[in-house]
Amino acid sequence: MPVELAGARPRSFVILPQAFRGRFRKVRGVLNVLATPERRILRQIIELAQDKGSYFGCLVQDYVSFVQENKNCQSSSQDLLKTLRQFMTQMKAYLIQSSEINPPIESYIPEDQIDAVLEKAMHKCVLKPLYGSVQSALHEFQVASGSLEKLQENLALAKTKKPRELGANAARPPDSHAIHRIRRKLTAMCRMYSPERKIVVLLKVCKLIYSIMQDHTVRLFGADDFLPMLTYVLVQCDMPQLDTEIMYMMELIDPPQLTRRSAYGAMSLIKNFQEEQAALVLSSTTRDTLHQWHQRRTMLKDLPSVDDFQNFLRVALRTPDSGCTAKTLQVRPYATTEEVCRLCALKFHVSDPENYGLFLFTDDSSQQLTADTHPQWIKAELHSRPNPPSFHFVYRRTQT
Amino acid sequence: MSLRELKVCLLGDTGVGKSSIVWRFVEDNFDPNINPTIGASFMSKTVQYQNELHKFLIWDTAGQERFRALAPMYYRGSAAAIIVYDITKEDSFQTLKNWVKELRQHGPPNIVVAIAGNKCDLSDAREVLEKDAKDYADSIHAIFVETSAKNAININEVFIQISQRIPVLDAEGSSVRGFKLRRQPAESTRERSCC
Repeated sequence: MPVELAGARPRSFVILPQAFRGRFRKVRGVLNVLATPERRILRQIIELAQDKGSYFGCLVQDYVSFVQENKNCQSSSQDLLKTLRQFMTQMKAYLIQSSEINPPIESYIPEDQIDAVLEKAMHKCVLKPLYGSVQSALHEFQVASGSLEKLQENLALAKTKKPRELGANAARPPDSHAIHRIRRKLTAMCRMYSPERKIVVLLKVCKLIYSIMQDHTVRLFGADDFLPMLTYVLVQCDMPQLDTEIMYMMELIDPPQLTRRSAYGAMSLIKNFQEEQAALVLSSTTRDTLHQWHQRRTMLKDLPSVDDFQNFLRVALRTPDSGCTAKTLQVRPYATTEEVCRLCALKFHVSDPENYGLFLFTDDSSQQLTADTHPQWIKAELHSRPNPPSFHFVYRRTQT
Repeated sequence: MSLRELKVCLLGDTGVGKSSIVWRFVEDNFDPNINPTIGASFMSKTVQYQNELHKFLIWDTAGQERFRALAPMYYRGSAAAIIVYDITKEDSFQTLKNWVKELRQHGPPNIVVAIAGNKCDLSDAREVLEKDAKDYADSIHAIFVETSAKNAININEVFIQISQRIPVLDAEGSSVRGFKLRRQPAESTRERSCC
């Protein structure tokens, strides 16, 4: 809508001679016609958000100043972030239902893309102006709860340890140059207001660490080799603010966006933070959040939860002498129990695999899985039940 | 048939059943274990009223004290407010009176006010007499109904009565055209936006 946009931000033209203005308007108009429908919608929503005369703009502006003025009225970081998330979600619903965007959004872009565009618009209208105050509020909460201090202690302690002591003994750790690069990426990530863009950076960092591990070796590393290395790298980077960063991402990422592949992978990774040693660089509140987060996400039935992540399977090793240890293994959907047993023998360093089998433990029973069954299918079936029972896969001796 | 958008907000103490009323109206459903609302929730439903379609754009505000300061955002642009109290809690009726005062002072001048005494299925535990509430509502010219979101009593009636009280449109009124794809300049969007 060229007419609308031409006059929308006159300030940018103030220093230009009058004669040029018309031309610039024309150019802008042309550019606007050329812009993708997505960009046009984005621009339209952002302009509406700045227009206090519109109902939508009024809500956005009032909300932004409310948060800026009342950030201390929230009792915790999570409350603050949840309120933000809720506001964005409800405003998206409002934009779809009301006629403030006219012509309606669905006349520009296919229906399955609308939510992603609106989400992006909300990030720009709400998170961008609020990012500074939200960050400082999160930091204050981190200080007030004592978790920052605890984290700094943990980090200092962990920094004295060698990769091997953190469990990262399988591969070569990144050198100081690589750590520096990673630190720079993470620092840049801390400045981004979009949770999705943050996640993309996090994934890039993980990919970088993984490719360094993979350098000069033919062996393929799995999740249980990777996570301790990630811990080591994070310790070296020495950034206690990552704690609030993770919380920011977890609380603000929109559930529907989770189904997108990248977010999905990152979230399974974040989930693993809690289970593996990376926990030591995160505060206990974040770990609790992770737990609640996971529960909340699994309650949304139509979304794949992180545990359903198709290529991972968590298996516990039970031995008479050492109790239980668990590992997250990479298991393809079509892998048979026989193949999983072979992988377990390798990963758990079992010298007599012929005496071991894979068992499924549910609330009140356990059974050995036969060689030709598919553990991932069993997991999927259990997850799809209306009231999924709690269950574990256990690798243990067949005769006790 | 012309389509009209009516912005409605729900106000009232925490736990009186604001969200349950909206749920019953929009989804015809009831969940006894509903979570407290965070900030505000949005829902919409279109119903036919005489020869018009009324699209209710409903902002269901949080009753918890910590969200109290957010409420003006939502009632400011509303055509109607449904103030809810719980007939088994005298306190919630006092809170309602405070909401009425606040709306009189800071709300839009012509806002239609509806008072809903919810949980009328629990009449054994009643603390607020129907007559007292009705008298109060009459004194402020508000719509009054006792409702039960749980048993689906009088929920639609609240909205029907709101439709009745909304002033009829004049020729230049704020009706939203039914034909969606037609372009229109931004200026008219602005005029229309606050009901």
